[in-house]
Amino acid sequence: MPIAEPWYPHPDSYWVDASQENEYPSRYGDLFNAPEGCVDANGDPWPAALVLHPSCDLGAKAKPSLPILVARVEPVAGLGRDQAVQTKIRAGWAERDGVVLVAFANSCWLSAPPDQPDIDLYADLRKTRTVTFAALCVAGRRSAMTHDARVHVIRREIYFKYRWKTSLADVFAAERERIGGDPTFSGPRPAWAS
Amino acid sequence: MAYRSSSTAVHLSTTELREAAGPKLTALLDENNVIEVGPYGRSRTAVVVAPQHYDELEAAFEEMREFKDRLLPMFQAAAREQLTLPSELYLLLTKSAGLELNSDWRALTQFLAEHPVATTRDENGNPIATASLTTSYVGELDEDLE
Repeated sequence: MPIAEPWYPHPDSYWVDASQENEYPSRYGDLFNAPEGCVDANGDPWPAALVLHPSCDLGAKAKPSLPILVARVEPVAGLGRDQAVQTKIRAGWAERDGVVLVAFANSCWLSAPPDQPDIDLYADLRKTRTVTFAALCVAGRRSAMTHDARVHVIRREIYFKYRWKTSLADVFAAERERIGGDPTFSGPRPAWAS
Repeated sequence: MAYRSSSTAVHLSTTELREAAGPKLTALLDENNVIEVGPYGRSRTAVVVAPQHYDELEAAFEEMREFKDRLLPMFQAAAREQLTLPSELYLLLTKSAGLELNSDWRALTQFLAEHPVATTRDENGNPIATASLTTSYVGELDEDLE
């Protein structure tokens, strides 16, 4: 019997509270304003960018020239009036003839960040750019992702990249071990990795 | 006599009540959807609602009755027999009952997080490969290939 697990966490647990954000250094999953160079085909800047770079590289040792992979982010409502498409993005799955399928594997739903609490977002994992760490810092961080949400996003990215479905428990365990082995880890630790 | 809403309590004499009840109620209903009416200090004897709020309540009541009498027994029977209702059928049933789909993204995603389902197929309907991650942290050189 396959284990029932959500692709995404509770919408209120996605982002670090704005009042505590400064305690959290930049990591995989953080939401940034679009850095310079992150533009669409028509030259419009991306609405926002999601960091897909290993967390341990973004700490104190990060050089300004460090190349960082980011994915394009836009509001779910930007997908238009098709409510069914928006719902599939928010679920990460869809049901057809009684079977539950992955929906839009290249999408990763993101809850509304604290600076725009009514607008939920999604990252298009297929639309990526490499920017420098310096450019990312200049653009500015909009919100820090919680450790719990990061595990969900990593799991979704593993599925998109390799088409492997992993259990949440496995990804939590891997991230716990990674945090435990990272001598440069700073900021609050999640309860499950303390 | 007291007119009380969830946030206000207004005291009127019997004379005032007789002469001013209509305008007073109208004014109170402009500010509140619901007003409880009753003797001062005692439990309410009536509840007054604005006409438009009454219409909303009536519509909500009808919607609930429709769901309870027509749809819920069908869903319960399906659950009892462990039958899966396809989304298309669910949408058809709810649409025929005149029920609106909830478009509140926060409520939807909260529900999805709290009531997960097992995704078993990829986007094309093919079986999904499942991977077990066994971890054992290994150190790495503290230098990057430039």
